[in-house]
Amino acid sequence: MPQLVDCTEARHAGAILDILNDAIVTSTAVYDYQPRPPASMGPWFATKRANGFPVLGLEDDAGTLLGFASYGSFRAWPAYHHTVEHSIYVQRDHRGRGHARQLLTALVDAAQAHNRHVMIGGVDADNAASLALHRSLGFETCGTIRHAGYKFGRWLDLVFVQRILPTPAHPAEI
Amino acid sequence: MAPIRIAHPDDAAAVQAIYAPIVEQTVISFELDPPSVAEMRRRITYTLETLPWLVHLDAAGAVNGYVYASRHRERAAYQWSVDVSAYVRADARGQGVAGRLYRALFDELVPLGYCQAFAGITLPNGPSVALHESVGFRPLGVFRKAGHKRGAWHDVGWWQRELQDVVTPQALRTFGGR
Repeated sequence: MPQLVDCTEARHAGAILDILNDAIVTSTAVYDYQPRPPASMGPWFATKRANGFPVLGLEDDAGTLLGFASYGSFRAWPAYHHTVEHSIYVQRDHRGRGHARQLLTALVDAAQAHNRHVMIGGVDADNAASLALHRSLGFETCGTIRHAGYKFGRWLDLVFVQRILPTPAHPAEI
Repeated sequence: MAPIRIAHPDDAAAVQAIYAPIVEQTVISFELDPPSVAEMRRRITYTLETLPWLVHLDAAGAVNGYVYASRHRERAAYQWSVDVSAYVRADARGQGVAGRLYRALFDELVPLGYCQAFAGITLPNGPSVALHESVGFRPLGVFRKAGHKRGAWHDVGWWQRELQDVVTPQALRTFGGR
């Protein structure tokens, strides 16, 4: 049975980088052109650590990372503090087995545990599987930014989906 | 590959090459004779049975720094406390490598259940003190003339970094090394 784990740089940076870079060079799931260098993972984890952003992983029995999910700031201004934008990646050989659902479900729980209020996903309009997953977990479509990106010689439409969480019980300006 | 990963026994040669000059040429380590590669391999293997040992890689993928934890003292009530040490290859110092290693180490120690980390620094060593305080260590005190090396007595300052503040500690988990 795949097991949920909190990812750490020492254990998971290499596997996360591999999964991310595969998505970058082969898909429109990430609006990035060039694979990221190994050195990018130190600052990536440092930002997660400094802001209390969870990095959840799913490992098989051998400890191989099947996928991961995390979130970061939606926008930098203070009043956006309770809103986060998330992402979920599953290693290409392990897709279609419900791993993304398990990761996103756990990430929603983590967001509530951290008193976040809104989760936002930016999903490429062609990514039907991701859009269906989000809808099934209670995410609503906010709208589509047409021609938001350009990759592989064509314009990409970006669909924003959101889910409002019951937390925090007592919102405050932070 | 990433800049920080869990050590492997095969890192022993690179680790020994970083550590041996520190033993031979400085009083930073209180070892008098540099350990062999085989001995470093043994230490890495032994440590990873229960505790984290992490390495930092340079742009070419070679080990240019490492950090590890060891039991603070053997008596059972000390079990939630660890001593920690970090060493960085001469050409990689002053670039934040040790700080990144320590933060990654803390990320491993907390979920295992460890609560306090201690670090001993042979005095004076301004850069090492600054490094440790930058990752949250606070000074505890000085063991005066605690060691004799290279023809002189040396003081060792001790610093402490709280990993987590828990009222009732939980059973420790072993690192498992993967």
